[in-house]
Amino acid sequence: MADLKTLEQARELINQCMKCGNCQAVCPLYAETMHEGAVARGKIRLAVDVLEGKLQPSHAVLDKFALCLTCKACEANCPCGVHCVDIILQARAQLAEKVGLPFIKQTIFRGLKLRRLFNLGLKVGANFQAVALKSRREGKGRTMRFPVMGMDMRRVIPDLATTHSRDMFDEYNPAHSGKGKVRAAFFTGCVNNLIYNDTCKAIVEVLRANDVDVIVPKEQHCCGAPVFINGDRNIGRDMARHNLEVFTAADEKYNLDYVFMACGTCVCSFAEHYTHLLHDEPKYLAMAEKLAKKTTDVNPLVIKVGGLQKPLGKVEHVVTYHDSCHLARSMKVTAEPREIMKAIPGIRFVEMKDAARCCGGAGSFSLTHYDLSKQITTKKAENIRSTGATLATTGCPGCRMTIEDGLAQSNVKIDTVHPVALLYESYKNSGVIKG
Amino acid sequence: MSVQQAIREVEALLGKERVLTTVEDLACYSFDGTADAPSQRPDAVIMPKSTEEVQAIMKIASKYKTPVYPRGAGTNLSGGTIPLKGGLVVTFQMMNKILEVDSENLTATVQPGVIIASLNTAVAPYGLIYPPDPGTVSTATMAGSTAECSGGLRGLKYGVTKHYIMGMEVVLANGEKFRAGGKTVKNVTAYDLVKLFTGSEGTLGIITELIVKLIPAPEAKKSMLAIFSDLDDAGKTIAGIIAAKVIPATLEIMDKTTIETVEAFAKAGLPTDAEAVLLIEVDGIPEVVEKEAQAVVEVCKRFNGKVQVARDDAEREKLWAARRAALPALARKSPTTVLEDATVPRSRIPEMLRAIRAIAKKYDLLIGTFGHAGDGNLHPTILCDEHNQEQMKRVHKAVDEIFRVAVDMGGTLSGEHGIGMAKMKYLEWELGATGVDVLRRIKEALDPDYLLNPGKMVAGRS
Repeated sequence: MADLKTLEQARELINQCMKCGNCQAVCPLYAETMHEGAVARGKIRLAVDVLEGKLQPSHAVLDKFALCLTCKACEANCPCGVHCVDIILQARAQLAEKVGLPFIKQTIFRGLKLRRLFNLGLKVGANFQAVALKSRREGKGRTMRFPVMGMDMRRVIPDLATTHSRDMFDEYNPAHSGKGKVRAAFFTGCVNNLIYNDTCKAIVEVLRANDVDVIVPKEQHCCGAPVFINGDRNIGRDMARHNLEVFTAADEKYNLDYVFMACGTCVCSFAEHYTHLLHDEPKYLAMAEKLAKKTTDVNPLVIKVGGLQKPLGKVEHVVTYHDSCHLARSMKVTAEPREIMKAIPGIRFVEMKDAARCCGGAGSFSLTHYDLSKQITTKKAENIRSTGATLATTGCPGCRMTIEDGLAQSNVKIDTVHPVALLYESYKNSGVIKG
Repeated sequence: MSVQQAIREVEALLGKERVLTTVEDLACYSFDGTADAPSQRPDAVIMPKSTEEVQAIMKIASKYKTPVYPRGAGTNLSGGTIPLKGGLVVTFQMMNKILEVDSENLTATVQPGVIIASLNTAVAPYGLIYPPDPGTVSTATMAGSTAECSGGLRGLKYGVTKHYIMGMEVVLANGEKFRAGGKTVKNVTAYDLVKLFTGSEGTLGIITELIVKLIPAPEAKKSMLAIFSDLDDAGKTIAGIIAAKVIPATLEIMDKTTIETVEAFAKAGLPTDAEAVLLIEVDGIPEVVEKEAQAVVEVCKRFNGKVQVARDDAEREKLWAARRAALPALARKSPTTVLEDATVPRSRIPEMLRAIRAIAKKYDLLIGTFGHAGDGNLHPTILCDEHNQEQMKRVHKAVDEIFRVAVDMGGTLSGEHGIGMAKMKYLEWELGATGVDVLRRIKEALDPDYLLNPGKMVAGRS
């Protein structure tokens, strides 16, 4: 099939699957649905059937491929090392091109593409959120007064920040010492920008306290993952090109040592996806490869610049940590956030059961499949609750949003933060940063 | 169409949510873990929650003469769950409760869809284990592995699934149900119906509940790896260990092709000039384990084996990693991996390995052989590409010859994968025409219309 040329290229990956079914043991969606179609092995068969013309491309097939959290648990458990998620993303892109994405996704993605309008809309939204969203009587967050963009009415959504994170900083934020030894540019990502300005503030200040000049390029946009992960490669490529131009310009201006993120998915976009997405455009491929080498999650960066060598003040909390799928399995960042928290005096760190199991959020999956997502999140909330922790941490704002919803739905009153935010507290308590 | 009528009746009973009928869903049940097997979509996939529902499904199926394929996790290697003739796949994920762990009688009672590993997790606090450990323990279901009578790495000392099935509840083709066996160690009432349905591959009835035997978990384990530059030495070592009155839990072999492939992909630290390696594990009471391990090391050395003994869990893990990498490493090397389970008396292992090597040469194929040498169960693994028709012809001839040789050596067609569809044609070699007719008569007595898993094990009278 000529028009499935790129899925054909995935054939080699597909052939590596020996159909053993080991993916069933770890797939969160299989655990909930118990359907073979929910797990990697079933989807690989669907890809084969599409390739061999036994299944016609359709929205129904695309819906099946949409049923994946891209959590990569299958890949980690695969004896043959099959890149299941790559096959699934390839199939999504191919099918989306062929039959088009559902109208609702198309509309959202087109909206995402327009950076200024998107930011403006959400700024207006932050000021008027009371109109659409009602505050919950207890705890933080809001539920919706009427359905917006296909979101489930039951969902608890965090308050939108009235000041976007990126508006809190200048483009150039020198090290506190005035003697910056390292230059790092911050790609905030949407959720950190729009909701968790507490995380961004803590991260920028902690790095500045460690002789890092922090650059926050103003023109940065959504990394594009929500778009290309759902199969819209064209808009995804537009967004990738834009971000590559913005950060390449910053690199030329400031001679960056690092580009860092505080989001499991954003960091993968720069570290992995952009080079794949733009492999056929030499100019952008070169930019993507150069920036990929400098890309890091903020947790290892904080340790690398000596963040744990500073005097650390006491922070009294029982803390547990949720591993973001993309951070843990794509970026292999699991030890560093724990190392940070364990270093802080006063913190008692407790591992939760299945810490690296997907929280159920998976970006827009939680919008399109709220019930299924919620079942998975409920298990995560229970695992958090049973640690007896007073704080739940995670390195990804998408997970954090999902976990907050899950905890609220289960009536568990535990706050959530980014690990580096605890280090910020610790610095304030020791006087490294004047609080 | 009568199949569609049957589906509508089942839907009316179970609700639409537990009856999957979209082509996309059906495609996902058109295959199982078997390589080089045909695929066929069923007409519906049904997920019952109780024995009563299974009975109702069978009554509807027999009314409309619709084929039914019981399915667990679909991990078998004999095409056992492929819905060859269309009809209804009945899958047991929603009957997955452990009903009882009886530590006084050393039994567990489980629903068919319980995952083997989940049972072991549940009985671990009692200091017990359920020994059968096929490679897919983390996904395979109890009834699926009972119906296939699966084996595993501990077969030499602990046997296969049939040695642990004490009782069961079965729904027959006509929708009636009965129970056989129970919790007593001794039970010689009438024909051994429990054994009959164990390994019946879904062709005689549907298992809806199981009583299984548990044993105390071994207190200690010791693993050893022995490397041989001569195949006969490895063979003599296998015989020598048994002659020294040691029955290891595990006694595995990997041949030269497998070693080279494992090294190329997994870098497990095996010498690629070796002709064979043996992986041996003894378990039990610490003092005995120590003594047995010593005896094993002596035998290995006597036959020129270079022995490494794992001193701790980390080293044990390292030795096992090489063995676990065998199949995946072979599978990565080619698009299709045809994995057989021909089995011979253990004294004939070196002869069998040499025969397989000669067959590989004769048909110009790459065959890696590894497996459970201690129980004579080898896994000749043919690396091929199912899209290459000319090559597949040679593969099929080689497979024929491998089974011919195994049966001629007094061995068997299947050590642990079952007959399914691919090996039906060889049954006469082992059982003779009369033996095959006995199978047919049993089948027809219980399922005269061939509704249960048609096209597997027993060919209909066509």
